[in-house]
Amino acid sequence: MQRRTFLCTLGVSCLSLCVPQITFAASKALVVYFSKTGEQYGVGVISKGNTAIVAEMIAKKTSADLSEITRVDDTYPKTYQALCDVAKDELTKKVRPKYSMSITDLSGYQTIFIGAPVWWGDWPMVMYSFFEQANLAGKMLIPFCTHEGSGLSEFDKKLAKACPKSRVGQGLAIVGRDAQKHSAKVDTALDGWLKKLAAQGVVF
Amino acid sequence: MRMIIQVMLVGSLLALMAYARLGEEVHEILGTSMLLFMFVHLWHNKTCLANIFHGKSPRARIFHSICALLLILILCLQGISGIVVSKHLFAFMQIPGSAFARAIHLCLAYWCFVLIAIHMGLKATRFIKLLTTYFRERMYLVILIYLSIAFYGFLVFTRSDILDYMLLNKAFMSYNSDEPMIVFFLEHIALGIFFITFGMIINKMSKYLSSK
Ligand SMILES: Cc1cc2nc3c(=O)[nH]c(=O)nc-3n(C[C@H](O)[C@H](O)[C@H](O)COP(=O)(O)O)c2cc1C
Repeated sequence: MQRRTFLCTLGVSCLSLCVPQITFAASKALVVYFSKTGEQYGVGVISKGNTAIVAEMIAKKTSADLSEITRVDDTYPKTYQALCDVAKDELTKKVRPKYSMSITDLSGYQTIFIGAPVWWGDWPMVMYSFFEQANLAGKMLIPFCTHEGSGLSEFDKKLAKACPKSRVGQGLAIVGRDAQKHSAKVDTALDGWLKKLAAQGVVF
Repeated sequence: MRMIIQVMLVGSLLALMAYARLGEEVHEILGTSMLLFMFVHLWHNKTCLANIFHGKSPRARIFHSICALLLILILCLQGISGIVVSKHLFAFMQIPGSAFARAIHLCLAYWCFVLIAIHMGLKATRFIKLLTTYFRERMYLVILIYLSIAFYGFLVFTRSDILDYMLLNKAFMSYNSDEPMIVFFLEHIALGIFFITFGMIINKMSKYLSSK
Protein backbone atom coordinates (compact mmCIF):
# COMPACT_ATOMS: atom_id res chain seq x y z
CA MET A 1 0.00 0.00 0.00
CA GLN A 2 2.67 2.40 1.04
CA ARG A 3 4.75 1.45 -1.94
CA ARG A 4 1.85 2.14 -4.23
CA THR A 5 1.32 5.59 -2.72
CA PHE A 6 4.99 6.27 -3.13
CA LEU A 7 4.92 5.28 -6.77
CA CYS A 8 1.84 7.39 -7.36
CA THR A 9 3.44 10.43 -5.79
CA LEU A 10 6.56 9.84 -7.83
CA GLY A 11 4.49 9.60 -11.01
CA VAL A 12 2.54 12.77 -10.27
CA SER A 13 5.61 14.75 -9.38
CA CYS A 14 7.34 13.58 -12.52
CA LEU A 15 4.37 14.72 -14.56
CA SER A 16 4.21 18.06 -12.83
CA LEU A 17 7.87 18.50 -13.61
CA CYS A 18 7.25 17.74 -17.27
CA VAL A 19 4.17 19.87 -17.84
CA PRO A 20 5.73 23.29 -17.36
CA GLN A 21 8.61 22.18 -19.55
CA ILE A 22 6.22 21.30 -22.37
CA THR A 23 4.55 24.70 -22.20
CA PHE A 24 7.93 26.31 -22.11
CA ALA A 25 9.12 24.46 -25.22
CA ALA A 26 6.08 25.56 -27.22
CA SER A 27 7.28 29.12 -27.74
CA LYS A 28 4.99 31.72 -29.15
CA ALA A 29 4.58 31.97 -32.90
CA LEU A 30 4.67 35.22 -34.83
CA VAL A 31 2.48 36.36 -37.68
CA VAL A 32 4.16 38.82 -40.02
CA TYR A 33 2.20 40.36 -42.87
CA PHE A 34 2.13 43.04 -45.51
CA SER A 35 -1.21 44.39 -46.68
CA LYS A 36 -2.64 47.38 -48.48
CA THR A 37 -5.70 49.46 -47.79
CA GLY A 38 -7.17 51.84 -50.36
CA GLU A 39 -8.66 50.55 -53.59
CA GLN A 40 -8.20 46.82 -54.12
CA TYR A 41 -9.38 44.51 -56.84
CA GLY A 42 -13.00 43.33 -56.54
CA VAL A 43 -13.62 44.88 -53.11
CA GLY A 44 -13.60 48.63 -53.75
CA VAL A 45 -11.89 50.95 -51.28
CA ILE A 46 -11.06 49.09 -48.08
CA SER A 47 -9.99 50.42 -44.71
CA LYS A 48 -8.43 47.17 -43.59
CA GLY A 49 -6.34 45.14 -46.02
CA ASN A 50 -7.41 41.64 -47.06
CA THR A 51 -4.18 40.07 -45.86
CA ALA A 52 -4.37 42.04 -42.60
CA ILE A 53 -7.75 40.46 -41.84
CA VAL A 54 -6.41 36.95 -42.46
CA ALA A 55 -3.24 37.65 -40.46
CA GLU A 56 -5.28 38.81 -37.48
CA MET A 57 -7.41 35.68 -37.63
CA ILE A 58 -4.35 33.45 -37.65
CA ALA A 59 -2.79 35.34 -34.74
CA LYS A 60 -5.98 35.00 -32.74
CA LYS A 61 -6.36 31.29 -33.43
CA THR A 62 -2.76 30.47 -32.55
CA SER A 63 -2.36 33.12 -29.80
CA ALA A 64 0.60 34.36 -31.81
CA ASP A 65 2.11 37.83 -31.80
CA LEU A 66 1.28 39.99 -34.77
CA SER A 67 3.52 42.37 -36.63
CA GLU A 68 2.84 44.36 -39.79
CA ILE A 69 5.53 45.02 -42.34
CA THR A 70 5.29 48.45 -43.88
CA ARG A 71 7.37 50.15 -46.45
CA VAL A 72 9.44 53.05 -45.21
CA ASP A 73 8.39 56.06 -47.37
CA ASP A 74 5.22 54.33 -48.49
CA THR A 75 4.76 55.91 -51.88
CA TYR A 76 2.38 53.23 -53.12
CA PRO A 77 -0.59 54.79 -54.96
CA LYS A 78 -4.04 54.39 -53.46
CA THR A 79 -5.77 53.31 -56.66
CA TYR A 80 -5.59 49.78 -57.96
CA GLN A 81 -4.59 50.71 -61.51
CA ALA A 82 -1.72 52.95 -60.48
CA LEU A 83 -0.56 50.49 -57.82
CA CYS A 84 -0.35 47.78 -60.48
CA ASP A 85 2.02 49.89 -62.58
CA VAL A 86 4.25 50.70 -59.62
CA ALA A 87 4.28 47.10 -58.37
CA LYS A 88 5.17 45.77 -61.81
CA ASP A 89 7.95 48.30 -62.14
CA GLU A 90 9.38 47.23 -58.76
CA LEU A 91 9.15 43.60 -59.75
CA THR A 92 10.91 43.94 -63.08
CA LYS A 93 13.67 46.00 -61.46
CA LYS A 94 13.86 43.65 -58.47
CA VAL A 95 13.74 46.63 -56.14
CA ARG A 96 14.28 45.93 -52.42
CA PRO A 97 12.33 48.72 -50.65
CA LYS A 98 13.25 49.56 -47.06
CA TYR A 99 10.81 48.00 -44.64
CA SER A 100 9.92 48.51 -41.03
CA MET A 101 7.99 46.44 -38.51
CA SER A 102 6.96 46.79 -34.89
CA ILE A 103 8.71 43.63 -33.66
CA THR A 104 12.34 43.58 -34.69
CA ASP A 105 13.78 40.93 -32.41
CA LEU A 106 12.74 37.64 -33.93
CA SER A 107 15.10 35.46 -31.91
CA GLY A 108 12.36 34.19 -29.58
CA TYR A 109 10.13 32.88 -32.38
CA GLN A 110 10.60 29.43 -33.84
CA THR A 111 7.56 29.54 -36.12
CA ILE A 112 6.73 32.55 -38.24
CA PHE A 113 3.64 32.84 -40.41
CA ILE A 114 4.38 35.17 -43.30
CA GLY A 115 1.57 36.63 -45.40
CA ALA A 116 1.16 39.08 -48.27
CA PRO A 117 -1.09 39.76 -51.26
CA VAL A 118 -0.11 38.22 -54.58
CA TRP A 119 1.26 40.97 -56.78
CA TRP A 120 1.88 40.03 -60.39
CA GLY A 121 2.11 36.38 -59.47
CA ASP A 122 4.82 37.03 -56.86
CA TRP A 123 5.46 38.30 -53.34
CA PRO A 124 5.52 42.11 -53.17
CA MET A 125 9.14 43.21 -53.40
CA VAL A 126 9.16 44.61 -49.86
CA MET A 127 8.70 41.04 -48.62
CA TYR A 128 11.96 40.03 -50.26
CA SER A 129 13.66 42.83 -48.34
CA PHE A 130 12.37 41.15 -45.18
CA PHE A 131 13.33 37.63 -46.31
CA GLU A 132 16.84 38.69 -47.16
CA GLN A 133 17.54 41.12 -44.33
CA ALA A 134 15.80 39.66 -41.27
CA ASN A 135 17.48 36.79 -39.48
CA LEU A 136 15.21 33.88 -40.31
CA ALA A 137 17.81 31.11 -40.30
CA GLY A 138 16.72 27.90 -38.62
CA LYS A 139 13.10 29.01 -38.26
CA MET A 140 9.97 27.35 -39.52
CA LEU A 141 8.32 29.74 -42.02
CA ILE A 142 4.69 29.26 -43.05
CA PRO A 143 3.62 31.32 -46.06
CA PHE A 144 0.07 32.52 -46.72
CA CYS A 145 -1.39 34.90 -49.25
CA THR A 146 -4.55 36.59 -50.40
CA HIS A 147 -5.21 36.70 -54.12
CA GLU A 148 -7.94 37.06 -56.74
CA GLY A 149 -7.44 33.93 -58.79
CA SER A 150 -3.75 33.12 -58.89
CA GLY A 151 -3.71 30.93 -55.79
CA LEU A 152 -0.53 30.49 -53.78
CA SER A 153 1.53 31.35 -56.87
CA GLU A 154 4.45 29.25 -55.59
CA PHE A 155 4.93 31.52 -52.58
CA ASP A 156 6.34 28.51 -50.72
CA LYS A 157 9.00 27.74 -53.31
CA LYS A 158 9.94 31.40 -53.69
CA LEU A 159 10.22 31.81 -49.92
CA ALA A 160 12.38 28.71 -49.64
CA LYS A 161 14.65 30.06 -52.34
CA ALA A 162 14.96 33.44 -50.64
CA CYS A 163 15.56 31.86 -47.21
CA PRO A 164 17.62 28.73 -47.87
CA LYS A 165 18.56 28.38 -44.19
CA SER A 166 14.96 28.18 -42.98
CA ARG A 167 12.39 25.45 -43.23
CA VAL A 168 9.21 26.29 -45.15
CA GLY A 169 5.87 24.75 -44.21
CA GLN A 170 2.70 24.19 -46.19
CA GLY A 171 1.19 27.48 -47.39
CA LEU A 172 -2.37 28.68 -47.67
CA ALA A 173 -4.10 30.88 -50.25
CA ILE A 174 -7.22 32.87 -49.38
CA VAL A 175 -9.31 34.80 -51.90
CA GLY A 176 -9.03 38.50 -51.07
CA ARG A 177 -12.73 39.29 -51.27
CA ASP A 178 -13.54 36.34 -49.01
CA ALA A 179 -11.43 37.99 -46.32
CA GLN A 180 -13.63 41.09 -46.61
CA LYS A 181 -17.00 39.46 -47.14
CA HIS A 182 -17.04 35.79 -46.19
CA SER A 183 -15.19 35.44 -42.93
CA ALA A 184 -16.91 32.15 -42.04
CA LYS A 185 -15.41 30.59 -45.17
CA VAL A 186 -11.95 31.88 -44.30
CA ASP A 187 -12.42 30.66 -40.74
CA THR A 188 -13.04 27.08 -41.86
CA ALA A 189 -10.12 27.18 -44.28
CA LEU A 190 -7.81 28.42 -41.54
CA ASP A 191 -8.95 25.77 -39.06
CA GLY A 192 -8.32 22.97 -41.54
CA TRP A 193 -4.92 24.36 -42.46
CA LEU A 194 -3.77 24.90 -38.86
CA LYS A 195 -4.88 21.41 -37.96
CA LYS A 196 -2.83 20.00 -40.83
CA LEU A 197 0.21 22.05 -39.82
CA ALA A 198 -0.09 20.83 -36.23
CA ALA A 199 -0.32 17.25 -37.46
CA GLN A 200 2.87 17.85 -39.45
CA GLY A 201 4.58 18.81 -36.20
CA VAL A 202 4.68 22.57 -36.62
CA VAL A 203 4.76 24.19 -33.19
CA PHE A 204 2.57 27.23 -32.57
CA MET B 1 6.03 26.38 -96.30
CA ARG B 2 2.39 27.31 -95.78
CA MET B 3 1.85 24.12 -93.82
CA ILE B 4 4.91 24.70 -91.68
CA ILE B 5 3.70 28.15 -90.69
CA GLN B 6 0.24 26.80 -89.94
CA VAL B 7 1.68 24.08 -87.72
CA MET B 8 3.94 26.64 -86.02
CA LEU B 9 0.93 28.86 -85.37
CA VAL B 10 -1.05 26.05 -83.74
CA GLY B 11 2.00 24.84 -81.85
CA SER B 12 2.84 28.24 -80.46
CA LEU B 13 -0.81 28.82 -79.55
CA LEU B 14 -0.86 25.64 -77.47
CA ALA B 15 2.43 26.50 -75.82
CA LEU B 16 1.20 30.03 -75.12
CA MET B 17 -1.83 28.61 -73.31
CA ALA B 18 0.60 26.84 -70.99
CA TYR B 19 1.75 30.23 -69.70
CA ALA B 20 1.90 29.23 -66.05
CA ARG B 21 3.94 26.13 -66.73
CA LEU B 22 6.46 27.25 -69.30
CA GLY B 23 7.33 30.47 -67.53
CA GLU B 24 7.07 34.11 -68.45
CA GLU B 25 10.19 34.49 -70.57
CA VAL B 26 9.24 31.55 -72.79
CA HIS B 27 5.70 32.94 -73.04
CA GLU B 28 6.93 36.33 -74.16
CA ILE B 29 9.27 34.88 -76.78
CA LEU B 30 6.53 32.55 -78.05
CA GLY B 31 3.99 35.40 -78.17
CA THR B 32 6.32 37.57 -80.20
CA SER B 33 7.07 34.77 -82.63
CA MET B 34 3.42 33.85 -82.97
CA LEU B 35 2.67 37.41 -84.05
CA LEU B 36 5.42 37.14 -86.67
CA PHE B 37 4.03 33.79 -87.84
CA MET B 38 0.64 35.45 -88.20
CA PHE B 39 2.07 38.08 -90.53
CA VAL B 40 3.73 35.40 -92.65
CA HIS B 41 0.45 33.49 -92.69
CA LEU B 42 -1.35 36.65 -93.83
CA TRP B 43 1.27 37.16 -96.53
CA HIS B 44 0.67 33.62 -97.78
CA ASN B 45 -3.03 34.30 -97.99
CA LYS B 46 -2.87 37.84 -99.26
CA THR B 47 -5.06 37.17 -102.29
CA CYS B 48 -7.74 35.72 -100.08
CA LEU B 49 -7.46 38.72 -97.82
CA ALA B 50 -7.65 41.19 -100.70
CA ASN B 51 -10.87 39.56 -101.88
CA ILE B 52 -12.54 39.59 -98.50
CA PHE B 53 -15.15 42.16 -99.44
CA HIS B 54 -15.67 41.20 -103.07
CA GLY B 55 -15.33 38.22 -105.36
CA LYS B 56 -17.61 35.26 -105.72
CA SER B 57 -20.41 34.57 -103.23
CA PRO B 58 -19.29 36.77 -100.36
CA ARG B 59 -22.27 35.52 -98.38
CA ALA B 60 -20.83 32.02 -98.09
CA ARG B 61 -17.58 33.48 -96.95
CA ILE B 62 -19.01 36.00 -94.54
CA PHE B 63 -18.16 33.91 -91.45
CA HIS B 64 -14.71 33.20 -92.78
CA SER B 65 -14.14 36.91 -93.24
CA ILE B 66 -15.56 37.95 -89.86
CA CYS B 67 -13.57 35.29 -88.09
CA ALA B 68 -10.33 36.14 -89.89
CA LEU B 69 -10.70 39.89 -89.35
CA LEU B 70 -11.53 39.40 -85.67
CA LEU B 71 -8.48 37.20 -85.30
CA ILE B 72 -6.19 39.77 -86.87
CA LEU B 73 -7.61 42.41 -84.55
CA ILE B 74 -7.39 40.26 -81.43
CA LEU B 75 -3.89 39.04 -82.17
CA CYS B 76 -2.72 42.62 -82.65
CA LEU B 77 -4.38 43.59 -79.36
CA GLN B 78 -2.71 40.62 -77.70
CA GLY B 79 0.61 41.89 -79.00
CA ILE B 80 0.01 45.37 -77.63
CA SER B 81 -1.37 44.28 -74.24
CA GLY B 82 1.39 41.69 -74.04
CA ILE B 83 4.03 44.38 -74.47
CA VAL B 84 2.37 46.47 -71.74
CA VAL B 85 2.28 43.59 -69.22
CA SER B 86 5.70 42.24 -70.21
CA LYS B 87 8.05 41.61 -67.31
CA HIS B 88 11.04 40.63 -69.41
CA LEU B 89 11.48 41.37 -73.14
CA PHE B 90 9.60 44.66 -73.22
CA ALA B 91 9.68 45.62 -69.53
CA PHE B 92 12.11 48.45 -70.24
CA MET B 93 9.33 50.38 -72.00
CA GLN B 94 7.44 50.86 -68.72
CA ILE B 95 4.12 51.56 -70.38
CA PRO B 96 1.37 52.47 -67.87
CA GLY B 97 -2.03 50.80 -67.85
CA SER B 98 -0.72 47.39 -66.88
CA ALA B 99 -3.78 46.47 -64.80
CA PHE B 100 -6.13 47.02 -67.73
CA ALA B 101 -3.77 45.37 -70.19
CA ARG B 102 -3.46 42.32 -67.96
CA ALA B 103 -7.23 41.84 -67.76
CA ILE B 104 -7.59 42.28 -71.53
CA HIS B 105 -4.69 39.97 -72.32
CA LEU B 106 -6.09 37.14 -70.22
CA CYS B 107 -9.63 37.54 -71.54
CA LEU B 108 -8.63 37.82 -75.20
CA ALA B 109 -6.26 34.86 -74.88
CA TYR B 110 -9.22 32.52 -74.57
CA TRP B 111 -11.22 34.31 -77.27
CA CYS B 112 -8.19 33.90 -79.47
CA PHE B 113 -7.99 30.18 -78.72
CA VAL B 114 -11.67 29.66 -79.52
CA LEU B 115 -11.59 31.79 -82.68
CA ILE B 116 -8.49 30.09 -84.04
CA ALA B 117 -10.20 26.73 -83.56
CA ILE B 118 -13.33 27.98 -85.33
CA HIS B 119 -11.16 29.44 -88.09
CA MET B 120 -9.53 26.02 -88.51
CA GLY B 121 -12.95 24.35 -88.58
CA LEU B 122 -14.13 26.74 -91.27
CA LYS B 123 -11.12 25.91 -93.42
CA ALA B 124 -11.18 22.18 -92.77
CA THR B 125 -13.06 21.17 -95.93
CA ARG B 126 -9.96 20.17 -97.86
CA PHE B 127 -8.59 18.24 -94.93
CA ILE B 128 -11.88 16.37 -94.51
CA LYS B 129 -11.89 15.47 -98.23
CA LEU B 130 -8.37 14.13 -97.85
CA LEU B 131 -9.42 11.97 -94.91
CA THR B 132 -12.48 10.66 -96.77
CA THR B 133 -10.46 9.51 -99.76
CA TYR B 134 -7.84 7.96 -97.52
CA PHE B 135 -10.08 6.09 -95.11
CA ARG B 136 -13.12 5.52 -97.38
CA GLU B 137 -15.31 2.81 -95.75
CA ARG B 138 -13.64 3.24 -92.42
CA MET B 139 -14.54 6.91 -92.30
CA TYR B 140 -17.22 6.19 -89.67
CA LEU B 141 -14.41 5.12 -87.33
CA VAL B 142 -12.60 8.40 -87.88
CA ILE B 143 -15.82 10.30 -87.19
CA LEU B 144 -16.43 8.28 -84.05
CA ILE B 145 -12.95 8.95 -82.70
CA TYR B 146 -13.24 12.60 -83.66
CA LEU B 147 -16.58 12.99 -81.90
CA SER B 148 -15.36 11.33 -78.74
CA ILE B 149 -12.37 13.65 -78.58
CA ALA B 150 -14.66 16.64 -79.21
CA PHE B 151 -16.96 15.45 -76.45
CA TYR B 152 -14.01 15.14 -74.10
CA GLY B 153 -13.06 18.69 -75.11
CA PHE B 154 -16.56 19.78 -74.15
CA LEU B 155 -16.11 18.18 -70.72
CA VAL B 156 -12.80 19.97 -70.29
CA PHE B 157 -14.55 23.20 -71.19
CA THR B 158 -17.31 22.73 -68.61
CA ARG B 159 -14.93 22.08 -65.76
CA SER B 160 -12.49 24.82 -66.66
CA ASP B 161 -12.78 28.54 -65.92
CA ILE B 162 -12.52 29.45 -69.59
CA LEU B 163 -15.95 31.04 -69.82
CA ASP B 164 -15.19 33.12 -66.73
CA TYR B 165 -12.02 34.35 -68.36
CA MET B 166 -13.83 35.09 -71.64
CA LEU B 167 -16.52 37.10 -69.89
CA LEU B 168 -13.99 38.96 -67.73
CA ASN B 169 -15.33 37.39 -64.54
CA LYS B 170 -11.90 36.17 -63.65
CA ALA B 171 -9.04 38.58 -64.07
CA PHE B 172 -6.05 36.65 -62.73
CA MET B 173 -4.27 33.68 -64.08
CA SER B 174 -4.13 30.63 -61.86
CA TYR B 175 -0.59 29.41 -61.30
CA ASN B 176 -1.54 26.32 -59.42
CA SER B 177 -2.11 23.14 -61.23
CA ASP B 178 -0.70 19.79 -60.40
CA GLU B 179 -1.68 17.93 -63.55
CA PRO B 180 1.29 16.91 -65.70
CA MET B 181 2.20 18.99 -68.73
CA ILE B 182 1.24 16.24 -71.18
CA VAL B 183 -2.29 16.10 -69.75
CA PHE B 184 -2.55 19.86 -70.11
CA PHE B 185 -1.62 19.72 -73.79
CA LEU B 186 -3.85 16.74 -74.59
CA GLU B 187 -6.78 18.43 -72.87
CA HIS B 188 -6.20 21.65 -74.77
CA ILE B 189 -6.01 19.76 -78.04
CA ALA B 190 -9.36 18.14 -77.20
CA LEU B 191 -10.71 21.56 -76.31
CA GLY B 192 -9.52 22.91 -79.63
CA ILE B 193 -11.15 20.02 -81.47
CA PHE B 194 -14.41 20.77 -79.67
CA PHE B 195 -14.36 24.33 -81.03
CA ILE B 196 -13.16 23.23 -84.48
CA THR B 197 -16.48 21.38 -84.73
CA PHE B 198 -18.30 24.71 -84.43
CA GLY B 199 -16.32 26.01 -87.37
CA MET B 200 -17.23 22.98 -89.47
CA ILE B 201 -20.92 23.32 -88.59
CA ILE B 202 -20.93 27.04 -89.37
CA ASN B 203 -19.22 26.31 -92.66
CA LYS B 204 -21.83 23.71 -93.63
CA MET B 205 -24.66 25.99 -92.60
CA SER B 206 -23.41 29.01 -94.48
CA LYS B 207 -22.89 26.93 -97.62
CA TYR B 208 -26.39 25.57 -97.31
CA LEU B 209 -27.86 29.03 -96.75
CA SER B 210 -26.04 30.67 -99.61
CA SER B 211 -26.96 27.88 -102.01
CA LYS B 212 -30.66 28.48 -101.39
C1 LIG C 1 -0.36 45.44 -57.80
C2 LIG C 1 -1.31 44.30 -57.65
C3 LIG C 1 -1.06 43.12 -58.33
C4 LIG C 1 -1.90 42.02 -58.16
N1 LIG C 1 -1.62 40.86 -58.82
C5 LIG C 1 -2.39 39.77 -58.60
C6 LIG C 1 -2.08 38.52 -59.23
O1 LIG C 1 -1.12 38.38 -59.98
N2 LIG C 1 -2.89 37.48 -58.99
C7 LIG C 1 -3.97 37.57 -58.15
O2 LIG C 1 -4.65 36.59 -57.97
N3 LIG C 1 -4.28 38.74 -57.55
C8 LIG C 1 -3.53 39.84 -57.74
N4 LIG C 1 -3.84 41.02 -57.14
C9 LIG C 1 -5.00 41.08 -56.23
C10 LIG C 1 -4.54 41.00 -54.80
O3 LIG C 1 -3.71 39.90 -54.58
C11 LIG C 1 -5.73 40.86 -53.85
O4 LIG C 1 -6.64 41.89 -54.07
C12 LIG C 1 -5.26 40.85 -52.40
O5 LIG C 1 -6.26 40.26 -51.61
C13 LIG C 1 -4.98 42.23 -51.84
O6 LIG C 1 -4.63 42.11 -50.47
P1 LIG C 1 -4.35 43.32 -49.51
O7 LIG C 1 -5.62 44.10 -49.33
O8 LIG C 1 -3.92 42.66 -48.23
O9 LIG C 1 -3.24 44.15 -50.08
C14 LIG C 1 -3.03 42.11 -57.31
C15 LIG C 1 -3.28 43.34 -56.66
C16 LIG C 1 -2.45 44.40 -56.82
C17 LIG C 1 -2.74 45.68 -56.09
